[in-house]
Amino acid sequence: MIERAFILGQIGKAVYEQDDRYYVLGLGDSPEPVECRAGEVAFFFDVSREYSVISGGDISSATIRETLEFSRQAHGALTMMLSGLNQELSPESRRLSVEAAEELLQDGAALAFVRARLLARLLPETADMDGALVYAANAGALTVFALYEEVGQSQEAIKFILEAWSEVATEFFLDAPEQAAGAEKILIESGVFAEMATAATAGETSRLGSIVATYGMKIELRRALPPPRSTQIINAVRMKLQERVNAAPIKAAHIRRDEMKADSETAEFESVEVEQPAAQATAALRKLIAAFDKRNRDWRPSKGYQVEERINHQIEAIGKLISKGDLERAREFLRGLLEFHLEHSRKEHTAMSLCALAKAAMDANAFETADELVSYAFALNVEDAVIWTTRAEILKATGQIDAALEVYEQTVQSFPDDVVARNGYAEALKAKGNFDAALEAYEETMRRFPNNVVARTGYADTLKAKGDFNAALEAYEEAMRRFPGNVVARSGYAEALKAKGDFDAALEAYEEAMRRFPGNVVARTGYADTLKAKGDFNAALEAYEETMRRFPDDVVARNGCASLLVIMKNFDEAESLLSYLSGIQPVTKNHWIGHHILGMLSLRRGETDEAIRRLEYGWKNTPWSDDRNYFATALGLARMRRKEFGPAIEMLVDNVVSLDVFQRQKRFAFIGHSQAALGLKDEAVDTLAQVTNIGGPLVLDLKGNLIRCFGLDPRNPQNLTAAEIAGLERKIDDEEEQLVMLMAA
Amino acid sequence: MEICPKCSSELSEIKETCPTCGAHIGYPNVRAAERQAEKDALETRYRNALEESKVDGREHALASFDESMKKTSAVINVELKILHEFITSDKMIYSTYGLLVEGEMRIPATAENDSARQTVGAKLFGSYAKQIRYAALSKDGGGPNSYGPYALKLWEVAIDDRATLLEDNSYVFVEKHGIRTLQEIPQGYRATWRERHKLAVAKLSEQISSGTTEAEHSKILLSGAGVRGTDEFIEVHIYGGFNNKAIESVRGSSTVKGGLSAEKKLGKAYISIVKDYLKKAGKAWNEE
Repeated sequence: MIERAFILGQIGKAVYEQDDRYYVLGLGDSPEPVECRAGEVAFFFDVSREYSVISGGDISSATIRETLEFSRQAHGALTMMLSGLNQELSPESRRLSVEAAEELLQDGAALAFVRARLLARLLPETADMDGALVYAANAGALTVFALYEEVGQSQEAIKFILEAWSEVATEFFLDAPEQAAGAEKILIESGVFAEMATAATAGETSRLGSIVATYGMKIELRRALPPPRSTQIINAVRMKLQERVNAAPIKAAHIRRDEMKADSETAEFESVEVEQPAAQATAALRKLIAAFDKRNRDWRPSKGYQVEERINHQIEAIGKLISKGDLERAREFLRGLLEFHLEHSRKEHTAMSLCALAKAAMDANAFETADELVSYAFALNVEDAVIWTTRAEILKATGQIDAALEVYEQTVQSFPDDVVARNGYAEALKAKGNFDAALEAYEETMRRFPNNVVARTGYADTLKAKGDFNAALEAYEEAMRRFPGNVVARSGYAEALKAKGDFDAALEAYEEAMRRFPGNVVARTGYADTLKAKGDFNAALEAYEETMRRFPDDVVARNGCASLLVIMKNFDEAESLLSYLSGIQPVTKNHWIGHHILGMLSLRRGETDEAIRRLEYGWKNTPWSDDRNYFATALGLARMRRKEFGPAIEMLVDNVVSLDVFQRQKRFAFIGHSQAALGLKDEAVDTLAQVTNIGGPLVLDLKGNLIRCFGLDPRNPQNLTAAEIAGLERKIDDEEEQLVMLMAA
Repeated sequence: MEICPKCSSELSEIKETCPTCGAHIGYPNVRAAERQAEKDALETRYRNALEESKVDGREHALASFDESMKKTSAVINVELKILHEFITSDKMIYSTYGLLVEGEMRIPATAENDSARQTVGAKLFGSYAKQIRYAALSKDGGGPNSYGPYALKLWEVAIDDRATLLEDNSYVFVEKHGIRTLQEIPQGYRATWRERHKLAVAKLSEQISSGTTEAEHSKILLSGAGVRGTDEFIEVHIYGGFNNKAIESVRGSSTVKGGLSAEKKLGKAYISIVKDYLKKAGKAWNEE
C-alpha cells in the first residue's frame, strides 16, 4: 500500500515507500517503478530544489504517474522561463530555453503553475528581462513574451505583496515560522499572489476584494491553511496591499523595443512611458527589408528543418497577434522574424513568409495590415506570382474588384503557368457578375490544368451563381468524382441543390460532407442554412449554435444565425451576434451580408426609415453583384412598406444583374403585390401567374394570400372583413420579409 | 570492538562520531574497509591474482592493468534533468523560485530506520545507508548507462577520504553472497579508495590475457548492455552528499533522441545550459 509519494518535478522523479522498500518512478525509459536504495533517494532530494507530496489512503501508481507528468512539465517550463532571463547563459541557451518554454506553456495548467510563481517573487538583480523579451520576440514565442512582459510590469506590485505578506505572517504566525512558510507556499501555488499582483498592476484594486472571496472559499486553501481561516489571512494581505497601493499608486512600466540591431544577439529594450508610433515601427521594418540587399557577398542561407520550424512558429505567433488585433506587438514580432530571415533565408523565402502572414491578416479581416505585409514582400524585389496574387486577393476581399481584376490579369500575363492567378482572375470576374467571361476563364484553366480542383469548383460555383443549377450540379458531380476528398466540391454540390429548392437532397449532401469532414465549417453552416431555407427554424437554430460553439470566430455562421433570429423576431440576440459590425465600414463580403441583415432587422422592427438608409447604402456601395441584388430586393420591399409601390417596382425590375429562377419567383411575388396595391389588378394577375411551385412553399403561400387579400381571383370572391384583411396583410408582410431573409443569407 | 582513540569508549561501527566525546572517528564505510581482517583478505586475493598471472605469462599485462586502475575515477550516471539541476543548483535565479518548506516528513528522514529494513542498503550499511551516494569506478569517465546517459566524473580530492569500493553492484553482491546482515558481508570484497586497484585486479585478473592492451581496460572494468542488474562494474560508496564543485567533468551526448517536440526542445536547452555552466566553472564537457 502506498500512503505517501514525493513528487520531485524538477528532476522528473516520484519516490515512494512500499513494503519497507523505496521505489522511484520516472527512471529513464522504464514505465514501471524501480526499487532504489536509501542513499539514492537521498541523492534525488539533494539535487531537487522542490518537492510536493501526495498523501492519504492507498495511492495508485497511475495517480503518482499523472501528478509526476504534470509536475515535470510545469517545472520544466518554469526552469526554461528562468533560463531565458539568465544573462549568465549563452545566447544559444537562452534562445533554446525560450523556445522550449513556449511549447511547454501551451498547456494551460503549466502556464498557471509558472505564472503563479513568477508573479510571486521579485526578479533577482541578475535577471535580464529586456534581453529575455528580445529572445521571445525573435522566436515568435507569444505566450512567453506576454508572461515576461506581465512579470516585468508587476515587479512593484510584487514587492508590495511580499511586504504585506511579511507583516501578515508575523501577525498570524508569530511563533510558527514553519506554518508561515507553509501558508506562503500554498498562497503562491494557488495563484493568490499572482492574481493580486495583476490586479494591483492594472490599478483594479476593486478586484482584490473578489480575489479574497474567490480564493478564501476554495476548499484546498481552507484545508491547507491553518486556523484562522484562509479568508482572514488573504483579506489581511489584501488590506495591507491596498494601503501601499493607495499611498504609492503603481505605475506599470511599458516595455518596448528600441531601434533594431539586426546583426546583434544583444538587441536592447528600453522602458518608455509613451507608445512607440506605428510609423516608427514600420520605418524599422522597411530598414530591415532594405538590409536584404546589403548582405555580404559571402552570405549563404542556412538549411535544416530547425530553421524552417522556427520560421513557421514565428509566423503562427504573428498571425495570432494580428487576429487578436495587437498590431503593435505583431510588428515587434515581425521584426524578429525579418531579423531571423535576414540571417538565414533567401529573399524569396522571406517574401513567402510575408505573403503567408498577409493571408493570415486577411483571415482576421485586418486588410490594412495584409496590404502592409504584401508591400514589404514587393519591396524585396522578388519575382514571384504569389506576391501578386496575394495583393489581388486583398483587393478582391476589400471589394476593389476592378483593381483586383487588373492585378490578376497582369499576373496571368507575367506568369502564364500560375494556376492561382488564373483562378483568381475568373473568381473576380464572377464577383463582378461577369459570369460568361468567368466561365470562359475557368474553362481555359481547366484545359491547362485538368487536375486543379479549384478551377473545377469555381466553374461550378459560377454556373450556380448564374442560376444554371443543373449544369452546376453536373460540374460539381464531375469535381467530386475526380476529387472525392475535396470538401469544397461536396459543399458546393449541396449548396446548388439548396439553391434549386431541393432541400432534402441538399441536407443529405451536407450530412455526407459533415460525416466526411467533421472539422469543416462550410458544410456545417450550409446545413444550417438549408434547414432555415426549408423553414425548419428550430432545427436550423440548433445547427447554427452547434457550429458557433465549434467555430466561435466564424462570421458566416454568425451571419446565418443572426438572419434566422431576425426571421424569428428575436431582434436583441440577432443584434448581439452582429455587434462585430458596430463602428466599422463594411469591407468584406461577409460585412455586407451582415449589413443587409441589420437593414432587414430594422424593417421587421418597423423602423422603415432606418431600414431604407441601411439598404440603400448597401445597394449603392457593395462591390459584389449578388449582394447588390439582395440589397435591391430588400430595398424594394422597404419601399413597399412605405407605400411607395411605383419606386418599389422600379427597384425590383431594374436592379437585376442575374437572378436564378428560384429568386426570380420571389421578386415576381413582390412586384405582383405592388401592382395590386396600385390597383393594377390585371398586371398583378399576370405577374403572379409566373409564381409557381418552383419557388418553394413559402412563396406559393404568399401568392395565395396576395390573391385573397386583393381579390385577384374573380372566380372566387373573398368578401373579407376589415379585420380579416388586416390579418392577411400582417401575414403577407411576414412572409415577404422572411423570403428576403432566406434569399440573402 | 572499536575503541575511541580520544576517550577509549566503545564505538558503534555504524556511527561517524564517538557517542561519548563526540570526536570524529572516521566515516563508517571507510573504517569497515580499513579493518585489518578486511584488508588482509583483499591483499590475499590481490597477491593470488598476481601470482596466478605468472603461471601463464600474463604478469606484464596484469601489472599494466594494476597501474591503470590506480588512475581510475568515480563516476555517477544520471539523467538529463538531474544533470541540469545538479550543475545549476547554486544559482540564485533558480533558487528564488524554489518553494521547499522544511518541516514536512522527508524520505531521507524516514530512512533513519533503514537498518530495520530488508533493503540492499540496510544489509550493507545499516542505519547509515541513507548517507551513501553510489558511483561506479571508471577508467575513461564513462559509467553504467542504465542509471542515465550522462556521467559525472567526481573530483578525486572531493571523495578520496570518504569513498570505498565494493566488488559488484550492491544488488548483485547481496544476492550473490546471500547477505542478510552487516555481519554476513564476506571479507576481501571491499577496498578503500587508495586500494581500489587491488580490488579491480582481484576481481578482473582472469579477464586479462597476455595480449590485453591498455585501451581495453575501460571495457573490462565496466561492461554491460545498459540494463540494471546485469551491468558489471565496481561500485563506489561515498559517505555523505556533495555539491557540483565536486564534479570534474561531464561525459555524454549532445544529441537529444526521440520524444515529443517540447521534450526535445527542453532537452536541447538543458544540454546547452549545462555546457554554459561547465565552461564558466572551467570544467569539461566530453562529447560521447
